Amino acid sequence: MKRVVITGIGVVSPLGNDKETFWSNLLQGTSGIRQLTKLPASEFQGNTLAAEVNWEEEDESLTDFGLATRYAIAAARESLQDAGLPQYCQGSNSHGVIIGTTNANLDVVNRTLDTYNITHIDQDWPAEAQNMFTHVRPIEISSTISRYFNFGGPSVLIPTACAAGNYAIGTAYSLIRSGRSSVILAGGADGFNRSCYVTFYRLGGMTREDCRPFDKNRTGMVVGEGAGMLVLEELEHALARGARIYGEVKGYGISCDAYHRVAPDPEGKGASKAMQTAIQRSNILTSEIDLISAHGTGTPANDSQEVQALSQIFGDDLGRIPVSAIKSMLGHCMGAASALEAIAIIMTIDRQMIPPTINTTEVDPEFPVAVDVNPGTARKLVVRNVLSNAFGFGGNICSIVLGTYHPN
Amino acid sequence: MGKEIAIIGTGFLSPAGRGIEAFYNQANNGLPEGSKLTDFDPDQYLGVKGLRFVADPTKLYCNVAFQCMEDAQLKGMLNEYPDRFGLYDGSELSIIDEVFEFDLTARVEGADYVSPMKSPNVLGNASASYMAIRAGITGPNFSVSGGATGSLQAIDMAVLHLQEGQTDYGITAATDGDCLLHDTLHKGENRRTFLRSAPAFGAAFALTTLENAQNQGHKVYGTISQIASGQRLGYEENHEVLLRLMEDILKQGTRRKEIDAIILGGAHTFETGKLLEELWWDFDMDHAKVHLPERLLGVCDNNAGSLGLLYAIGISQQRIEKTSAKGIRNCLVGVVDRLGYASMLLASFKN
Repeated sequence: MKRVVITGIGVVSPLGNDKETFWSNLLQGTSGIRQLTKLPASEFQGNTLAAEVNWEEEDESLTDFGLATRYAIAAARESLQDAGLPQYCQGSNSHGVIIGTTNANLDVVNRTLDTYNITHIDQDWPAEAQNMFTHVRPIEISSTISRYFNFGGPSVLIPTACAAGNYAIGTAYSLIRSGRSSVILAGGADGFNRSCYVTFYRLGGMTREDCRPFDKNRTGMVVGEGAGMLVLEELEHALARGARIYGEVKGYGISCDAYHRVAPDPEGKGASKAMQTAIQRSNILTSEIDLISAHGTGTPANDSQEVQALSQIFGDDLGRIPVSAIKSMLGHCMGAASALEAIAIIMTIDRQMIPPTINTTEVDPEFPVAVDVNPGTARKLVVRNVLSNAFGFGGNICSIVLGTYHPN
Repeated sequence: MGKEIAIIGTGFLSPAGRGIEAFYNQANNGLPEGSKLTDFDPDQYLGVKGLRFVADPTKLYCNVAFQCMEDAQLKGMLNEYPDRFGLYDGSELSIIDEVFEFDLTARVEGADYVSPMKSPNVLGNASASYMAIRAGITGPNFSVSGGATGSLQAIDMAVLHLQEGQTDYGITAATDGDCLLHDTLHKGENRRTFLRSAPAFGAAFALTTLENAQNQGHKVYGTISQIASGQRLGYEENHEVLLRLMEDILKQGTRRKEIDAIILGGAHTFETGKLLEELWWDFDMDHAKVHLPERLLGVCDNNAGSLGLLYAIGISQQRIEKTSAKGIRNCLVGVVDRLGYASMLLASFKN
């Protein structure tokens, strides 16, 4: 059976727009959560936090596209360079692009409404507005990235809410193993937009204070944006070209809560199923997991059900495994979140250091098992295998296992 | 490609009615001018209450997904093994009107006037995740946004999971049509086609491995043995990416002479003359009849692939009257989106 390794990574995030800045900020416990600037803060009574990307477009030919496309291309450029692959693939090839997203091009809806002052759905639109609106199609994200790098293989856009980044990595893993492609750019991307911010504001999911995953006084998440892109490569292909191998995708599991449109199953049944499947398909034991990268949004409902699910898989053994929740620094970057978390895991495996969870001072005593969130500061740790969770609205769940690469 | 996949159930809903017979009726007789889908769940699989905040395309998705599970008689199996079922949605922008209204309210009236109950409709996974809740399906829940290739891409993902053993059954569906903003979008795209857009319809397929279908005694409409997909390369035109995918599929072992038909969607995005010329002269495929069913039903966007597969089933059962083809054994069903992304599968039928 083919093996799938990671040979390149690239980042656009609230914690920096290259992998080293991103990693350095994570290790230092720097927060990317600041005051909202991309929307008028006065419209969101008291909710004025956001994890925004500070980034400038390098390629003027892309300015008409949605932010997710542009962030993903910037991150993909870095990941291809990191992998030692060309920025434009010459000739016929089956290289693929798999992108996860929550909002796709909703920022294009915002831009069209704002630019042309559209106030009714059925009013006559000027031709320029119609033209701008064509960039709303989600397929434009994956298809544009494929064309930009001249990749001729599978190109898939997966809108499975906040689990989408892991879905993309898992799907790329499956497609490479099936022989459909030997190189796939996989990750997640989401641009800041009004609809997303309003959604979490109206659902009462956002905190007005710090994001404190798993804390007894946790009060919610912070909406973020960004892109994380990874080069996934079939092992023999990577070895043949002498690529640097960061780590290996060991397996993944997808499940669905089938419980509620915007709330997780409090018993964590879907989450535990996805984790169990991911670990089984990786052919490892739970005792071989050294780190858990939690979905860890900092909302009362999410964190509670995630610990419930973790306790079903790991039992009391959970106490020995650090649970990292980098959304405390990064905010919740939607479809990009789990892709950025995968990049943090790859850096963790590469450097054998785990980033801290900030702001969490007292883990919720109501949890059924103790949880070590590695509070405050980064530390050294021998890390072989990492389980990473991603949950989305609609009960979409995907867990992946990433690990060190060993030749045999 | 691995295990052969069987199509064991279908679902269809359009202004012509529900079920595959309604599809044959629409393909053969067309629809009266101005036909519009107004009841998105005539079977009332979802009941009648609690649907105020459920978007019509989501109801349509659920209706056809339930139909195909009913057609394949999967109720007992689902009750016993809900986590062995996967749900796949190939719809893109079916709920664009709802998305737009959500943002419009936030912009014009203010964020505090947006109903949080409408927030799930903003997400691309709204339909499949709602269906999972209503049907109790706890296996993979997978939405894709593949433009015109969406319905084939959803089948592609379902087949991938079946072949890997992640699932035992895959329910794939897609919906399209009758959105105010689709017209706006099409004007912006400056579509160059004399074809009208197809009225709203939904289509669904229940899939399993052929081995499982035989073991469980499921009826089999046809099988899928190969799938290929790819993006148009810098030097290619849209019809050439379809030909490249065809070549990829043929490389897996099916002989050219065994292909009776090529059923294509998205033909308004390429020059069919060029495709036919290369097919005949470069591929030695002049024996294979090329079908463009969107010429009968209108441009289907997300559902172009569903239409192709239903059309193939119709020919195999000799139910499509507007064709000279009398049955097929092996056919290629392919779609290309205007952005140059294409998907193709090889379907086989035992007449």
